[in-house]
Amino acid sequence: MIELSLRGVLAALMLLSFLALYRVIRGPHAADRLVAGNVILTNVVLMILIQAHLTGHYYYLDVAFVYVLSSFAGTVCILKSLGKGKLS
Amino acid sequence: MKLFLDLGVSILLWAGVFFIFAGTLGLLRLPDIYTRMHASGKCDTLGTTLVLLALATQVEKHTDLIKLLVMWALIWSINPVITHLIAKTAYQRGAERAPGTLYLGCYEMPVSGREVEEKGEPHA
Repeated sequence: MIELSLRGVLAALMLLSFLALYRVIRGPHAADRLVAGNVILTNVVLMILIQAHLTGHYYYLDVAFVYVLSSFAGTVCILKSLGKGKLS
Repeated sequence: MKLFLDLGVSILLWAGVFFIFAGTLGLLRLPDIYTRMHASGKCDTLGTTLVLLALATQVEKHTDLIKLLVMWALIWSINPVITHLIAKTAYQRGAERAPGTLYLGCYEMPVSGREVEEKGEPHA
């Protein structure tokens, strides 16, 4: 029962990521695209964790760590180059 | 007994999915960048918390539990920071507001980087 529920949550998160992809494509500004990309980032992290529990390969938790931290650094770099700061 | 435990974990999972769905719906339907951020920045954090809580009841080893809790703390600290940075950048770039927004012009922050940049080397 819990495994079935986890698989359903996995499918729902995938569907919600595709819904947020609409805002990435149609967003009027770059900030809209960044917000939608942040939502997709969170969904993908949850999907990695659920898949790691379902398959039993728990070393994918470290992959999720690296994914969160690197995408945080990437988003901050994009925002710095969009705004009035300097990248270096 | 085990059936009730599984039922509780399933309710946690689907409550998290519901909150993420609400955040995504706000992201799609609201008229303005600030309102979109208001919807997604909060609902997403709460949905992530609920799903991670449901996952943390299912793992066996202690190291995996600690890793899930550290991931929870990371997401809780990164998501508001990113939302605040995106809002600040959108405000500085002058993103348009939805009609009917109450706007007080008291948040004009001084931006020091541009002046230093313009005073420096001219062909940079």
